[in-house]
Amino acid sequence: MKWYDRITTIDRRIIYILLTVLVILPFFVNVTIPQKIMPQTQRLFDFIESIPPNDKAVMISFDYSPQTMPECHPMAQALLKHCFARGIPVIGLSFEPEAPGLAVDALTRVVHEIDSLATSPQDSLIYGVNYAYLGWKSGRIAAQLDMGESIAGVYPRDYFGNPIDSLPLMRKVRNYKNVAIVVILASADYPIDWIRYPQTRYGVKVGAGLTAVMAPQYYPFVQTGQVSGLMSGMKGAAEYENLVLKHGYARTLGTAETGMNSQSMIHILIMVFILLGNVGYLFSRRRQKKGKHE
Amino acid sequence: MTRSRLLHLPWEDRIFAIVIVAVIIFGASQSVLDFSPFYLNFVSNILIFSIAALSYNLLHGYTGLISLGSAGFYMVGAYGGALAMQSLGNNFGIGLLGALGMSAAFSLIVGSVATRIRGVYFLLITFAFSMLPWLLIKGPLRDITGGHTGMHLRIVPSFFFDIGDSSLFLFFTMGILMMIQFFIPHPVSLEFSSVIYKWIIVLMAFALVLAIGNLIRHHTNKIRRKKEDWPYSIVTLTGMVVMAIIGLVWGVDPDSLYQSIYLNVMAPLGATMFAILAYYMASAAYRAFRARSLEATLLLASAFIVMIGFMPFGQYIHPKFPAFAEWVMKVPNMASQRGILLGVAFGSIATALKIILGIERSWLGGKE
Repeated sequence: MKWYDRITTIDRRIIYILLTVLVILPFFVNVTIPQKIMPQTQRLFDFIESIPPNDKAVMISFDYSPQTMPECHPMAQALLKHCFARGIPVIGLSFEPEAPGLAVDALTRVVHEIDSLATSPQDSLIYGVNYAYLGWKSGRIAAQLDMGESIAGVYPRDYFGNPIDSLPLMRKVRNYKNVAIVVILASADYPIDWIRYPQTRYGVKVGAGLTAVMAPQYYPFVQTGQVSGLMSGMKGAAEYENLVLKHGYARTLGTAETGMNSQSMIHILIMVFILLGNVGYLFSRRRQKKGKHE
Repeated sequence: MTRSRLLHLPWEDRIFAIVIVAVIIFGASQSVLDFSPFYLNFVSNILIFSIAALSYNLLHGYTGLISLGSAGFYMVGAYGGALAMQSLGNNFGIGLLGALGMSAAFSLIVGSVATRIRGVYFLLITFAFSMLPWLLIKGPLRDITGGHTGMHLRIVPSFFFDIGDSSLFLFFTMGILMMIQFFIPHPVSLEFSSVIYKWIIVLMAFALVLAIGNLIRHHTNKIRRKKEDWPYSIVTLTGMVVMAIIGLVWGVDPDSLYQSIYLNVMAPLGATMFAILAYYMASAAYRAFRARSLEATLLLASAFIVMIGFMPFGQYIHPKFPAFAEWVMKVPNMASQRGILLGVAFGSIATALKIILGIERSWLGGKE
């Protein structure tokens, strides 16, 4: 067997072992590489930065499932840290049936982190005052449109069964007039409905945090301004974490930074294997052509 | 809440809402109750004159312009509709478009002159314009319009669908009403849309109930017949029932058992399933991603540029990499995405219109 045949027939178990080692390695070797912030991530950060404290709320639609948790969960946590640090109330909801458990987890983690650093009772976060989670709702387009008139009409109770009017935050936030931006964190084509319907009818601002596979579909909307900012995949999450850290809204980076290192290693490995495969392919094709001529 | 909002509407809005509902019920029940033509004509005339009264209210009441040209517009619309049906096809929809088109063209001519003047002069000019079509119809255009005897359509015009089919009529009416409510934020329209949205939410929840029912039936069948991998079906059904009971009995709070199982069992399992994809992708890319043609080579090159450009250390390989990757995403990618988006949008509009007009009927369950 020639060398170029050998490099095109590497056993897949070797690829799997290398892949596993390279995913795990960055978790033990702490390397922080400065992130170049993409303009769309910066735009989302700047938008949140421009919202006055204790005024309008940020609505976060948690629409991702455990499958895409490594990409979207750090986005959610970085965004929540940013909003809470700036005193912006947060309303969470979901249209993805698998998402509520993750939404509750993201909120609980960030609230615990902020509360553990609080020096006075005023610094701690209170459910129903600083944040609320409304849960999952079927018929997402109808629900999104109806919330333009009344959020309480769509969600008479929150995720935990509390009547919506018993939450002071929800007595203040009646519809989209009291919402500065809706940020959709999704692993599927959820933001398009927000752009098509509530934005067209009520002019609600839309931001997004999407998996790297989904994000390219939303570049046209970022360019037109229909999407006010976009976090794209693990990179977007890592960039937002860096921005939050740089502005002093968090003390440490989240999991996206480490995940980004793992992802980069895997990308390099895949590129190396693709190159090997193509070099082998070109040489074997050349040999075949030569054989034909002879 | 809904009830109180409806009761707080002005009386004319309440009457308007009642009339709309009555018309929908009347139209939908026509195929069942088979009313005599007298009542149908009677209701049609009421509606036609209601539209005329509404237009007078808009013109005289809201804008304050006293016009004598309404009869002219009525005439142009009627003849426009009849002419369109006679020459383009004996269909009510074509007639409607013809009436709208002719009236719009006529209003362009009238508006170019009449909107510059006010008071009695406006009254005179609109009167003159209402006489103009009358004179044309009776005079030079007599051969086309039939003069005093008018135009006669030999067959009663059909609609896009059989108007007596109550399901198609209901769908058409709802489609048009939903379009109107989206663009006109009138209290009646908002109240109507709010009720419909709540119905949709409930209906979609029922769809989910149906899905759960199907899942249970499928797996029960599999267990009963001991089909391949049937023990997994027991795991699925047990998991579903146990999670539902735990959630319903002990709640879904952050410290609950439900949340604990979700985060420690379901989330890692879901993430693992997705992570396995990375192994297959790496292996498949190595074996199948070959520069066999120009297109494949371009795809390969752009994939490398984007991957390197978006890596944190891509900028250290070459400072231009991140900018180039950004360019690939913002120019060629965006152009193709926009093309797809436009195609999807036009396709959606065409399909929606076909469904509303009863041309596309596969949603009725195979009825073509």
